[in-house]
Amino acid sequence: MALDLVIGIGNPLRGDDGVGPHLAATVAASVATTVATTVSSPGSAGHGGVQVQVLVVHQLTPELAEPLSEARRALFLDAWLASTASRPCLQPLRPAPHWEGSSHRLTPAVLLGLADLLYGATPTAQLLLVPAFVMEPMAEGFSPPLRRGLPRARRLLSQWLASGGDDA
Amino acid sequence: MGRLVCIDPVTRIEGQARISLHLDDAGVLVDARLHVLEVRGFEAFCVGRPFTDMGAITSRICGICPVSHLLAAARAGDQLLAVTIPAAARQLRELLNLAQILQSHALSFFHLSCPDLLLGWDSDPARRNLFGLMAAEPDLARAGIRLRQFGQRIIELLAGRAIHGLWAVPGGVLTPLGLEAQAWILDRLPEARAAARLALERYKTLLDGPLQQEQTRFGRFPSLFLALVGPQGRWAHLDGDLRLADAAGAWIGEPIDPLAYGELIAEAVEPWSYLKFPYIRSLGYPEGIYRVGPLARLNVCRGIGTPWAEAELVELRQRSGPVLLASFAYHHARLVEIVVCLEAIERLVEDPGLRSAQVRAKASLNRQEAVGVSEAPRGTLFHHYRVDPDGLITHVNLIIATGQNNLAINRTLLQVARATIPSPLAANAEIPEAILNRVEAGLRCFDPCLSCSTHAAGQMPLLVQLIDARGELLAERSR
Repeated sequence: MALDLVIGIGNPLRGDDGVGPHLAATVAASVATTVATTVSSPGSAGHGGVQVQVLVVHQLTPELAEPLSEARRALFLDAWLASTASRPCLQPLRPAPHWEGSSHRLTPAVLLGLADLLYGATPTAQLLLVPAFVMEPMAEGFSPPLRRGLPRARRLLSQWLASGGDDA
Repeated sequence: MGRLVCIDPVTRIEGQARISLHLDDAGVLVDARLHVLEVRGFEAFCVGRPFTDMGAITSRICGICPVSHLLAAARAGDQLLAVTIPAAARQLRELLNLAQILQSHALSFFHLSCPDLLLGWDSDPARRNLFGLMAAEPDLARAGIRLRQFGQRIIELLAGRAIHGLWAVPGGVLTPLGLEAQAWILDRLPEARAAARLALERYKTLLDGPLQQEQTRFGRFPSLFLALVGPQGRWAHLDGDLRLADAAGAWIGEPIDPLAYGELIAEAVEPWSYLKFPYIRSLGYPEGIYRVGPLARLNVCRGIGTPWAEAELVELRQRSGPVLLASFAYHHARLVEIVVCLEAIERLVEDPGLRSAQVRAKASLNRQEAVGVSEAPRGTLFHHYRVDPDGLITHVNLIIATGQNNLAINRTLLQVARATIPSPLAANAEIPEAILNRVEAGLRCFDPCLSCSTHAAGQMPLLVQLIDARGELLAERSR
């Protein structure tokens, strides 16, 4: 069975930063699976002939390269600090050909590059970016402008799940 | 006019820091300082919270070491309840801590240090990273990833989640180990052992080759060592006696009562860093320098008690001397501790007593002061609480491993900088990146966790500054 991997990135205790885990939880609910916090956990379930695995992480780590290499498709769900009004959007991703960023903060593209380098395979990947406005420590819940963007984010997420790879 | 060299940010460490190298008017290095740049103040905002919340709160200090704080908080809670926890709970906590040490050491060795060790100090900095490592040594990189996964998964099987699980509580733990979890651990152990063997074999080839000098000379100086030890002086990580050893490895005095840690350790502060400087009170500051963590645990213990790790410890001591004095030996000590963890995990998981349903002792508050001590991956961790009659926190002091190594880190930086930077340094001479990387590597030996040690959150980079004799910034380098 083909594997689709959904990775929610963020910390629910940092306000809008928690939107990635929040959206991942909606995926888990819609495909009757559980959310896992490590890559080797059983957090997957069938969905229209496709196995969907949902992971929630505070940040991307090299351990994710292995399950990424086994997936047919991958969707990263993340917040980005928006300076002006903007809308959630889906961006295609390609494996980074070289190192970018720091040892503590892998980007989805670098992680895809690691999967390619170590395991010789990468999924078709996209990044669902949700504009975030408040990322304060020890803050729960979302800011009003982020909440206004949530319906569109959910719609994009549903479309990605339903497309079953047709977007590839 | 003197100079200041700054390394900012320091990379491949847990936290944000800057290193400054101070040169006098003649261009001679006179000091090296690690500046830790953030503070968050957990000790302040814990006041007023129920002591039963301390595990949940303090484990949030860090995403790498939450288990360490959870266990120290639970152990302090045991004392406040004045209970002896069930045997199975003690074993389950041990299993959790072993998994934590294993995954943390794997992260430090494979992901953070191997780019230096395997690709070389002088290699192209654009390649000297995880990506470069994976391109150069994919088998080792894959093994490292799977080994860290193994530790993380055990934590998740026990605590329900890999990070910030709240399973260890005052009085014991919440749930026993399930049969499926036990089977999974036993199934994955051979692969984890193979990964550890591969890492050790590869590392020893480096010690026999390009790193031969470093193992005994890099950051070498006498100091005291602090760690827990078990019965017969064996390596311990959770239960045991707190022991101080001298630079010859001899124990000093009697086992230390954790409640009396304040008589042993005092904390100094410097205006240029948020990280405190714990020292041995009787020796004064800064003479009371001591080290904690893998190097200290192997120096303080009289043996390990598991066959493979015992053999590795013997070999390590043959290579480096009976007492490990070079900070560089932290790397090898970490690998030996990975072996201990794997052997101890296997022993625990095969013990039928581990599956007992009796895992928690319940009681009301019976004491108003407690100190929880455990060995975190980076060294001895103290959680000191005082509570009011309702169990609300009135005082907290957290003494973290990286803080206890602070004096030793600064000593290592100075020693490495003196050994590598030309002296005197010409007024306008550039210091090559490879040399600055060696200075950074002096810090990485300790695998510092600055999030824990300042209880702070934030960015992770590091800066190196060149400062003249009047304290003026002349140059700085960051990445």
